[in-house]
Amino acid sequence: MIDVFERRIILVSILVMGLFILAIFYAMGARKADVTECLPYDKTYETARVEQLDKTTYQIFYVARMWNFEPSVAYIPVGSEVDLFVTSNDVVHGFNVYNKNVNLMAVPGGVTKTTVRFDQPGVYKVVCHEYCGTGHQNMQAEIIVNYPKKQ
Amino acid sequence: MTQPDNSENFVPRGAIAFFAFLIALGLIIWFGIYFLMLERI
Repeated sequence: MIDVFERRIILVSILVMGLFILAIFYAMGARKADVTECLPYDKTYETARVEQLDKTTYQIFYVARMWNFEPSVAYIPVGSEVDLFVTSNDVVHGFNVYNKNVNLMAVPGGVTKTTVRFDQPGVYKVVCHEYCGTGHQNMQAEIIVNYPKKQ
Repeated sequence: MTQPDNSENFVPRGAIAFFAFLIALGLIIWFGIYFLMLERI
Protein backbone atom coordinates (compact mmCIF):
# COMPACT_ATOMS: atom_id res chain seq x y z
CA MET A 1 0.00 0.00 0.00
CA ILE A 2 1.44 3.37 -1.01
CA ASP A 3 1.65 6.03 1.66
CA VAL A 4 -0.89 8.84 1.22
CA PHE A 5 1.83 11.54 0.91
CA GLU A 6 3.71 9.43 -1.59
CA ARG A 7 0.55 9.03 -3.65
CA ARG A 8 -0.05 12.80 -3.68
CA ILE A 9 3.52 13.52 -4.73
CA ILE A 10 3.24 11.01 -7.59
CA LEU A 11 -0.04 12.62 -8.66
CA VAL A 12 1.43 16.14 -8.61
CA SER A 13 4.48 14.95 -10.60
CA ILE A 14 2.25 13.34 -13.23
CA LEU A 15 0.15 16.53 -13.50
CA VAL A 16 3.23 18.74 -13.92
CA MET A 17 4.73 16.41 -16.54
CA GLY A 18 1.36 16.43 -18.36
CA LEU A 19 1.40 20.24 -18.30
CA PHE A 20 4.89 20.29 -19.88
CA ILE A 21 3.83 17.87 -22.61
CA LEU A 22 0.66 19.86 -23.36
CA ALA A 23 2.75 23.06 -23.55
CA ILE A 24 5.05 21.42 -26.12
CA PHE A 25 2.06 20.31 -28.25
CA TYR A 26 0.59 23.84 -27.96
CA ALA A 27 3.84 25.37 -29.23
CA MET A 28 4.09 22.89 -32.11
CA GLY A 29 0.40 22.98 -33.06
CA ALA A 30 -1.20 26.33 -32.32
CA ARG A 31 1.94 28.46 -32.42
CA LYS A 32 3.56 26.47 -35.25
CA ALA A 33 7.00 26.30 -33.62
CA ASP A 34 9.17 24.74 -36.28
CA VAL A 35 11.15 21.66 -35.46
CA THR A 36 14.60 21.45 -37.02
CA GLU A 37 14.80 19.01 -39.89
CA CYS A 38 17.76 17.07 -41.26
CA LEU A 39 17.44 16.83 -45.04
CA PRO A 40 19.08 14.36 -47.42
CA TYR A 41 22.37 15.83 -48.59
CA ASP A 42 22.75 17.18 -52.09
CA LYS A 43 25.68 18.99 -53.74
CA THR A 44 23.41 21.93 -54.58
CA TYR A 45 23.36 22.91 -50.90
CA GLU A 46 27.06 23.78 -51.17
CA THR A 47 26.17 26.84 -53.27
CA ALA A 48 25.40 29.70 -50.91
CA ARG A 49 22.50 31.83 -52.13
CA VAL A 50 19.32 33.72 -51.26
CA GLU A 51 16.21 32.79 -53.21
CA GLN A 52 12.87 34.53 -53.24
CA LEU A 53 9.92 32.17 -53.64
CA ASP A 54 7.20 34.82 -53.48
CA LYS A 55 6.68 38.29 -52.02
CA THR A 56 7.18 37.24 -48.41
CA THR A 57 8.82 33.83 -48.64
CA TYR A 58 12.57 33.44 -48.92
CA GLN A 59 15.09 30.66 -48.77
CA ILE A 60 18.64 31.24 -47.59
CA PHE A 61 21.18 28.51 -48.27
CA TYR A 62 24.07 29.01 -45.86
CA VAL A 63 27.47 27.40 -46.22
CA ALA A 64 29.64 27.51 -43.10
CA ARG A 65 33.38 27.22 -43.27
CA MET A 66 36.38 28.19 -41.17
CA TRP A 67 35.66 31.02 -40.32
CA ASN A 68 32.72 32.64 -42.03
CA PHE A 69 29.22 32.06 -43.25
CA GLU A 70 28.20 32.54 -46.82
CA PRO A 71 26.14 34.60 -47.64
CA SER A 72 27.62 36.92 -45.04
CA VAL A 73 24.79 39.45 -45.48
CA ALA A 74 21.21 38.69 -46.51
CA TYR A 75 18.49 41.34 -47.06
CA ILE A 76 14.95 40.34 -46.17
CA PRO A 77 11.78 42.51 -46.10
CA VAL A 78 9.84 42.80 -42.85
CA GLY A 79 7.20 40.12 -42.36
CA SER A 80 9.02 37.52 -44.41
CA GLU A 81 9.05 33.85 -43.70
CA VAL A 82 12.50 32.46 -44.31
CA ASP A 83 13.59 28.85 -44.75
CA LEU A 84 17.17 28.47 -43.56
CA PHE A 85 19.26 25.63 -44.97
CA VAL A 86 22.66 25.17 -43.37
CA THR A 87 25.57 22.97 -44.32
CA SER A 88 29.32 23.03 -43.74
CA ASN A 89 32.35 22.76 -46.00
CA ASP A 90 34.85 21.58 -43.42
CA VAL A 91 34.16 20.93 -39.74
CA VAL A 92 31.07 21.05 -37.55
CA HIS A 93 29.89 24.63 -36.93
CA GLY A 94 27.00 26.10 -34.99
CA PHE A 95 24.34 28.39 -36.42
CA ASN A 96 22.52 30.67 -34.01
CA VAL A 97 20.38 33.65 -34.98
CA TYR A 98 20.36 36.26 -32.23
CA ASN A 99 16.94 36.90 -30.69
CA LYS A 100 15.33 34.18 -32.79
CA ASN A 101 14.42 30.62 -31.98
CA VAL A 102 17.09 29.26 -34.32
CA ASN A 103 19.75 26.88 -33.08
CA LEU A 104 21.20 24.64 -35.80
CA MET A 105 24.31 22.58 -36.40
CA ALA A 106 26.21 22.95 -39.68
CA VAL A 107 27.50 19.48 -40.38
CA PRO A 108 29.70 18.57 -43.37
CA GLY A 109 27.74 16.16 -45.56
CA GLY A 110 24.47 17.09 -43.88
CA VAL A 111 21.77 19.74 -44.27
CA THR A 112 19.72 21.19 -41.43
CA LYS A 113 16.64 23.25 -42.08
CA THR A 114 14.31 25.44 -40.09
CA THR A 115 11.82 28.19 -40.82
CA VAL A 116 11.75 31.54 -39.10
CA ARG A 117 9.57 34.61 -39.46
CA PHE A 118 11.01 38.14 -39.26
CA ASP A 119 8.28 40.53 -38.13
CA GLN A 120 10.55 43.18 -36.62
CA PRO A 121 13.05 45.22 -38.65
CA GLY A 122 16.66 45.10 -37.55
CA VAL A 123 20.04 43.50 -37.99
CA TYR A 124 19.96 39.92 -36.83
CA LYS A 125 23.41 38.56 -36.08
CA VAL A 126 24.18 34.98 -36.99
CA VAL A 127 26.96 33.48 -34.91
CA CYS A 128 28.79 30.19 -34.76
CA HIS A 129 28.18 28.69 -31.34
CA GLU A 130 30.16 25.49 -31.76
CA TYR A 131 33.89 25.89 -31.25
CA CYS A 132 35.48 25.34 -34.65
CA GLY A 133 39.06 26.61 -34.41
CA THR A 134 41.16 29.70 -33.77
CA GLY A 135 38.89 32.07 -35.74
CA HIS A 136 35.68 30.81 -34.16
CA GLN A 137 34.95 34.00 -32.23
CA ASN A 138 34.92 36.07 -35.47
CA MET A 139 32.62 33.74 -37.37
CA GLN A 140 29.38 35.60 -37.96
CA ALA A 141 26.93 36.83 -40.58
CA GLU A 142 24.01 39.23 -40.71
CA ILE A 143 20.39 39.01 -41.76
CA ILE A 144 19.21 42.55 -42.39
CA VAL A 145 15.47 42.88 -42.07
CA ASN A 146 14.23 46.24 -43.32
CA TYR A 147 11.12 47.78 -44.77
CA PRO A 148 10.42 46.66 -48.35
CA LYS A 149 10.57 50.24 -49.70
CA LYS A 150 14.05 50.76 -48.27
CA GLN A 151 15.51 47.60 -49.74
CA MET B 1 10.62 10.22 31.55
CA THR B 2 9.81 8.95 28.04
CA GLN B 3 8.68 11.14 25.14
CA PRO B 4 5.07 10.66 23.94
CA ASP B 5 4.91 8.69 20.69
CA ASN B 6 3.46 11.03 18.04
CA SER B 7 4.61 9.02 15.03
CA GLU B 8 1.00 8.05 14.21
CA ASN B 9 0.08 11.72 13.63
CA PHE B 10 3.31 12.80 11.98
CA VAL B 11 2.85 15.05 8.90
CA PRO B 12 6.04 15.89 6.98
CA ARG B 13 5.22 19.58 6.60
CA GLY B 14 8.81 20.61 5.89
CA ALA B 15 9.18 18.00 3.12
CA ILE B 16 5.82 19.00 1.60
CA ALA B 17 6.73 22.69 1.63
CA PHE B 18 10.16 21.93 0.10
CA PHE B 19 8.58 19.73 -2.58
CA ALA B 20 6.02 22.44 -3.42
CA PHE B 21 8.84 24.99 -3.61
CA LEU B 22 10.84 22.80 -5.99
CA ILE B 23 7.80 22.22 -8.22
CA ALA B 24 7.03 25.97 -8.31
CA LEU B 25 10.67 26.84 -9.06
CA GLY B 26 10.82 24.23 -11.84
CA LEU B 27 7.60 25.59 -13.37
CA ILE B 28 8.83 29.19 -13.24
CA ILE B 29 12.19 28.36 -14.88
CA TRP B 30 10.70 26.00 -17.47
CA PHE B 31 7.83 28.30 -18.51
CA GLY B 32 10.09 31.36 -18.35
CA ILE B 33 12.29 29.84 -21.07
CA TYR B 34 9.25 28.38 -22.88
CA PHE B 35 7.50 31.75 -23.33
CA LEU B 36 10.79 33.46 -24.21
CA MET B 37 11.29 30.94 -27.03
CA LEU B 38 7.65 31.32 -28.16
CA GLU B 39 8.19 35.08 -28.49
CA ARG B 40 11.16 34.44 -30.78
CA ILE B 41 9.37 32.24 -33.30
